[in-house]
This record gives sequence, C-alpha cells and structure tokens, in this order.
Amino acid sequence: MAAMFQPNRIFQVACHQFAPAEIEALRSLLKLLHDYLKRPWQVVDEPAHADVVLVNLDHPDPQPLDAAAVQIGCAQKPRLKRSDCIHRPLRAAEVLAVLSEAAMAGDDGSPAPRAETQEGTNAFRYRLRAWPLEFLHWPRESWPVLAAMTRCHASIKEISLRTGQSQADIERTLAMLKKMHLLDCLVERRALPRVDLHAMGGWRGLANRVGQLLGFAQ
Amino acid sequence: MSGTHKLVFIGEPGAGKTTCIGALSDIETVRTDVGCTDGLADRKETTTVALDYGELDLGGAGRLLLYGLPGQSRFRFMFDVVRDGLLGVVVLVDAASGDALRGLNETLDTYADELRQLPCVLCLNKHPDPPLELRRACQDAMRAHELVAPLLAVDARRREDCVRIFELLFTLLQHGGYPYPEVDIACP
Repeated sequence: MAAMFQPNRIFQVACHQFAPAEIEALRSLLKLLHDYLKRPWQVVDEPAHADVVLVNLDHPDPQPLDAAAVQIGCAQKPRLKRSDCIHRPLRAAEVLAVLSEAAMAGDDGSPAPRAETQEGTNAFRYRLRAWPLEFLHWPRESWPVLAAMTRCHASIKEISLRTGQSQADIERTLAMLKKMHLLDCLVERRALPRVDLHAMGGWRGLANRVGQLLGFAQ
Repeated sequence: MSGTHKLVFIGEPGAGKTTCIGALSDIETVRTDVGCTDGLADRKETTTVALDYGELDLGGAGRLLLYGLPGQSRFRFMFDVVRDGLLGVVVLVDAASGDALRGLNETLDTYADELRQLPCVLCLNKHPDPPLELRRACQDAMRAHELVAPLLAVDARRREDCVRIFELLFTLLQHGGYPYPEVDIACP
C-alpha cells in the first residue's frame, strides 16, 4: 500500500498461491537485484501487509485476494492471460520493473504518474471490484471516475481524459476506494492511453439530450 | 446524432419492470399482462408473460426504446431479440420479497455474460431503505458473477428515481469506454 515518503522504509512483496519453492526463488531474486532496486524489498507471507502482491494466475483453484496492494498477475503463458501479466517462474527483469515502479508510487503516497507520461514504461491501471454501497453520498464528481473504472482497468491519465477531472481529484477518489478495498490495481507496460474520443463524443451528445429531457445534468 | 437506442429492464416477476417503463415512456406502454394463476397471485394480480415496451422520444436525437424482460432463464431467448443497439441494462430486484436474492441470482446466472459487456445498474425496488445485509449480499452476488455495477435503492413509481437510474447509465456510457454504435438499428 502506498505510504508517505520514508527514506528507510523496507517495501514488502507477497506471493498469492505460489509454491514454497517459487517464493524462495523470489527471495533469491531480491538478493540478486539488491544493487539494482532503488529501495529495499523483502518477501512477506501476508498479502494484506504487502505493497505488491504477485498473483499466480495458473493456480487450478484460484482464490480471491482481498488486499489493497498492487496486484501483479504471473503466468507461465502471460500472453494468454491479461495484458499486464508477467512470467512465472519469475524473471529478474520483470520483477525489477514492477517493484521499481511500485516503490516509486509508494514513496510519494500516490500512483506513479511519471511513468504514464513516458512511452513504453509501466502504468498503474485501476478497476473497481465493486461500486461503493454508499456512492450516492459521495461527491457527484466522483461518479464519472467510478464509471471510468467499471468496465476495464484504466490509468489515471485515461481516467482524466475520460472525465476531464484533475489528477489530484482522481487520486482522492482512488484513496477512498483503496481504504475500502474496492480497487484492483495492475501494472501494465503500455505506451499510450486507450481513450476513444469519438465514442465519448457520441455518448456525450446522447447523454446531454436525455439529460435535458429527463432533468439531469451530464 | 440521431438513431434508435434500446434500454432493457430485467428482473423477476414483481420486481417493478412494468412500473419503471410506465414512469418514463412517452407513449402508452405496450403490456402483455395476464392474471396470475400460480403462487405469484399472493403478491400481485397480474404478471407480464412476454415483455413490456415503451418509448422515450429524444427529438432530433432519435428514440430510446424501453423493454422489460423477465429475468428467468427460460426467457433468455428474448434478450437476443432486443440485443442490437442496446445501451444498457437495469436489473430490478424486489427488495421487499423475502427471497430477493434468489431472483437476483437467477437473473445474474442467466445474463451475467451480457451484463459484463454493457452499462448496468442494479436497483433494489419496493423497499424505502433496504437493509445493509441485503445490499451487501447483492454486492457479493455481483462480485461472484464478476459484475461491477452501481447498486441503489429506488421506488420505481417515482419518476425522479427512474431519472437517477438514467443518470447513472449515461454516466457509465459517457466515461466507461464503451464503443459507440456506428449504425442505426432497425426500428420496430
């Protein structure tokens, strides 16, 4: 989980539904990567306390993971899984990439916006696990942010493009969702935000018309 | 922009589909109600045996066709009839029923694949303040079906509650990254 900047903080990574031998392999990898990681990392058993959780997507009996940490899917054939997946058995370069990115986000208590502006680097992408039950009492401005994360994962930049809201406002909503464990977070290597401006314009026109007729503002 | 779009209300018998469409439609709604002859007669005098139909005239922006479909699996084929041009789905649950979750689960078992692809709003009807346990159970049912959607309590007889449903649906459409249809669908 993200925290305020603490120079001596040791970041924690957990493994969900990995074999013990694979967890030992990760410990060995972290020793090898020690000089390359800008911040120290250690393997912990409890996902709830981790900054990053590696999730075994090949497990025959997948169990839900209720943790607010960044979750990284791992699979023997990542291309057959979701697009942000990394290899299992773990590869040093990929582990280095995801942990470096997570540490960068954790240092300032926010997701890593700098990474989103650079082509080919990692981007944190968020999706709702569920809408908050009390969302009607949330600021109305947060509804479009919730909507932007309903169907698929979206980075802060994508959410901003879709909703017109500032990064700070979006991060406030993300922080509330994280506290409620309603946010699924992935790291994905991708270059540009996926936002269909044509579709947005079409829906906006229709929404405005229906809103005028029925009496709600869009 | 003009065209014909569709919105579907799905739910178990007595969930409020007919009422919701009646509250919004510009035309007299087309109903296929008949008298109840089974156990449902304890809860309501008539029930919809095919579908409800209403329309919202959007002026220069076309028409919005409103359909009410039964949530039971045996009526699954009717969804395919209205699939083209579908903007979204409103799932209605009779929150006053002692077995509200059973109806919701049957609807989700039947339609979860479709609902995951469309803007969807889940509405607890007929209860002014549904208990937190029920709302949590509905949320759990959605999560079990990998469905992410806003859940709210409504009174389908109140136009403002129906308007809120629309507001949420169009918020999802506008910001959720849903593809915009390129061609108009055939009008009934």
